[in-house]
Amino acid sequence: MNGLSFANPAFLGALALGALPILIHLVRKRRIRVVPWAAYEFLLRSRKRNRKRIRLEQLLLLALRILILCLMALAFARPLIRNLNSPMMPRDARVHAIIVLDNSMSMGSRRQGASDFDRARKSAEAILGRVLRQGDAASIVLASARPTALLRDPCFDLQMARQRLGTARLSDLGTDFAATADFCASLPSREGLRLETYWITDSQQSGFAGLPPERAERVWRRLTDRGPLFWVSTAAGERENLSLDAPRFSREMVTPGSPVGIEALVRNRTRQARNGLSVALRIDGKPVASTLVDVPAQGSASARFVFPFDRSGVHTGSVELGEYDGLERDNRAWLAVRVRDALRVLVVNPTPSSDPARDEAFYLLTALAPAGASEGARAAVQPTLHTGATLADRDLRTFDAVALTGVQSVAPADASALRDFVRNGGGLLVVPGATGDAARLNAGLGGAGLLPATFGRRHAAALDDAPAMNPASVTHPALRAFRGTDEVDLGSARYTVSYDLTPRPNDPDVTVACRLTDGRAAVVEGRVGQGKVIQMAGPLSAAGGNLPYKPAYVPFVHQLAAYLAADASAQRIVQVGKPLAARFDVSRAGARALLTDPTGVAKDLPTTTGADGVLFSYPAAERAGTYKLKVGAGPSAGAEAFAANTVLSESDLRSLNRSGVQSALGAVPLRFASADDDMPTVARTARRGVEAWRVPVLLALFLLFLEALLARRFGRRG
Amino acid sequence: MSAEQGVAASSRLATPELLARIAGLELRARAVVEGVISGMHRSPHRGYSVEFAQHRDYTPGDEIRHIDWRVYGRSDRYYVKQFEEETNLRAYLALDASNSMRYRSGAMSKLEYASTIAAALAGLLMRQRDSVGLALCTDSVASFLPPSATAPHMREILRRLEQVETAPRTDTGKTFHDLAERIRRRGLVIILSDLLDDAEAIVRGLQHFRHNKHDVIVFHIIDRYELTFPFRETVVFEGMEEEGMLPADPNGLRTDYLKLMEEHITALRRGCREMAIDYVQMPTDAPLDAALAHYLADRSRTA
Repeated sequence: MNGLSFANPAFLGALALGALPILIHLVRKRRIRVVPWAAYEFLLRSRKRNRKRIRLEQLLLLALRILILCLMALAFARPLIRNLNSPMMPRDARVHAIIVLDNSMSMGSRRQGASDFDRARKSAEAILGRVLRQGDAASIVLASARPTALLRDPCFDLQMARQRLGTARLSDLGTDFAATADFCASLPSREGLRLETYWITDSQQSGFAGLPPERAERVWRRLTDRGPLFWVSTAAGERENLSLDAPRFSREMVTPGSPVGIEALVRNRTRQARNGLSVALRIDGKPVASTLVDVPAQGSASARFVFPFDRSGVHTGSVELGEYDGLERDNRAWLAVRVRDALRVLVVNPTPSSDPARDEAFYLLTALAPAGASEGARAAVQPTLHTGATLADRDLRTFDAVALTGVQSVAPADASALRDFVRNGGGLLVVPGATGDAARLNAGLGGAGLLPATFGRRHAAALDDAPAMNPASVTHPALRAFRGTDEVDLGSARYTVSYDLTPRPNDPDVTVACRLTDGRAAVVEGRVGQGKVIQMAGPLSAAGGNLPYKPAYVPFVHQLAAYLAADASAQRIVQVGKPLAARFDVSRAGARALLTDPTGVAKDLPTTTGADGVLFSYPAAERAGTYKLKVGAGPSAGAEAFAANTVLSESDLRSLNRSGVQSALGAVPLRFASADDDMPTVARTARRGVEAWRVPVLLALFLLFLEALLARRFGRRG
Repeated sequence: MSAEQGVAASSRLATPELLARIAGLELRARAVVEGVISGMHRSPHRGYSVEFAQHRDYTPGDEIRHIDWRVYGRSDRYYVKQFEEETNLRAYLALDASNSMRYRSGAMSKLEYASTIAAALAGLLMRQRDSVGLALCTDSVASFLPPSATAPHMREILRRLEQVETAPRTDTGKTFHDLAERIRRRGLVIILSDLLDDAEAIVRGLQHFRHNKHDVIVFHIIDRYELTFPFRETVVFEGMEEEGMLPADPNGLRTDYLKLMEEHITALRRGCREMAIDYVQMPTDAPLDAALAHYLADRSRTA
């Protein structure tokens, strides 16, 4: 609903000019002259015939002339049309403007030589320089998934605010408009100042996905209840983009000399297929491989590399797209990996047998280090057999994983050692023996919190009737290599001896990795501290079924071992905005950490020491690239690396238009403007209303033309 | 030089503006006549001439210069040359003397213009020894001077024309009937009027003349303003024949007024044409001699 007001109401007095034609008429009537006329009869007859028409024409012309003058007076009064829902701002009112500058990665999208962020900053400068006046105040907020304030408290020094605005930089963060709105709603304001929020953004569609509409409206309402919201959009037309997803390694464990697959998904968010796109792999700063990919329009394709790391340790690198597009930041995906010399597995078998068919560990040990395998593969896993009754004489910290086979019971001390081992990031494989006692295992390992499932009833069946593994039920990453594979027939492996496994209820850390054909759980995985426990329903020996005789056995065992031994000390490939965390053993207790970010800036940070070792944590990686961490000093210093990649949704540059933004924000009042608009005009219009003087001027001109036309037609001219 | 060229040259001497500056009607008329004659002399084939008809006995009062001295030499008797027209034509000038004739927008009023034409015509006719009479018409025949061709008669005509007193009323149709009744002998009736009256009644009156075998010429004297109605401002029009006052917006009335005037003139033209009456429209801003010579030239061609 709109209302009308006037910028120069004094000119409304000029409406009296509308009486001018009447006055002129009256004056001229007084001065009317008498003309003797001979052909009087003709005149008389003519007037009788035309009296009504002439009267009508005269009145019409008089009305037009009055209207023209009134319209001109109206135009000089500068009428303003404004929304009645927002009260008109008095001329002397002071303003506190919260300038929200979107600095999410998508704002780096460039067209015509300038990025959206450049345009947004120009709009912000225009607001500070031309919209705000002496006595007004400003706050500046950078909008992203992690909103921050450049100026939190209302700043009356607009020059300083402009300087602060100049320090704003584009980030690699994602967008979360709702979080930023919430942040802005909590900013302090000053009594007596009218609050105005200028939200300058590319209106990226994914930025609105943070909250469902009804909740989003509540958040935005909090903001708009404080004052009008100006949505200044830098988006103009469709923005196209190519991007790379974070790279993935083909296996959990990477060892020297063992080629590992590195795959990165190339996404084509344009309307045209891109064939022969050059993608390069760079490791430790050196280009090592490149490939060409064909990516369909609005589709994706994988860029695959196989690379053998030649030495152990932490390595960093990137996958790079060779083609320039509007948004550069997501054309490079970063990777970090720890290459380990070998996987050390302690295989515990307290009851060894001379008969391999009855020995619980024989086939497992054979499968972990198979004879005839390549030198490199042999070196990848180094199994160690432990046949003692207890683990007291073993330093578990020297192993990456422990496999318990044929164990009847676990002493409390061993259980405690195993618990510490797992909590510090070790992997534990629990394999029941063919003749094991479920209750004792539950008491020993379960009591230490190491069993993700409870062992139940023992089932024994003839081979033909025994349940088999069901590869179709595989959902777990540890066994994902078997999902839908026909060449490795895990499904023909039968368990003649098996136990019921009842996973811990309502525990998000417990997952059934695979089931038997009768529906019972076959493999259950659980998390304990930094480590992992995998619990099997049956033995991995020939005494419990025919699995060891199956081609699937060796890869099955290797997958489990690699998963368990995967380095849990750090999540190295993360998304921008997510925290960085790493764990070191207690030998580095109390050490300081030095974190070097992608720009080369190093920060000295503290670590914390707890039951799980020495922990380093950093709240969020804000830049895409590699972060390098050093904990402690000297040759024993621990090293770690992280790769922070851009947010996937941020590469989707689709923007919402006016109605889309309004719909996303709910029913909150919103003033939509383009960054190309003149900001003072936008603000003035909202504060005072739309200047509508052109309408009466155009109308007056039209009526003037009409009057001239009618006057000529009526015979009053020419 | 053609008659038109001669008339054009002479018209510079007889414009209404120039004539208006000449005080006496006689001089004005002479200027007009001179203009007409000079135009004629330059074009003898197109003009008219007086044809010799017969001799008659001299009577006192006849022009001495018209005595035929050759016949006197042979017969020792005085004979005067008599011409065709002189012997047959009796012209009656009927001048409208209503108040409406006093209207003027330019140098001359309609009455002055008509009087000048009447005087000029009288002069031209008397040069040819035609008899000229004069009737002043208002709502009746206000004065009537029977035709004669003598010089004193001419002076009387001029005197009466100079001393016309207009009357507030006019009834042109009725006046024409009265005049037709008065004129017994066949002749030429020359009407000089603004004809601002009912066209039908006027035509009926003219019909009366034709019925009595008169030859009729109508000089429709009209002011330019009456033809164009060029007023812009709102004015009060005052009827010149006591019709009253009429405040009016001329712009709103112009189209309709001009249409009515056009219809009136068309009705008069048509009526005249149907009765073989010459209708000559003479706006008061047109040079008199030119207008007159044009007409006379046309008439001699069609005669």
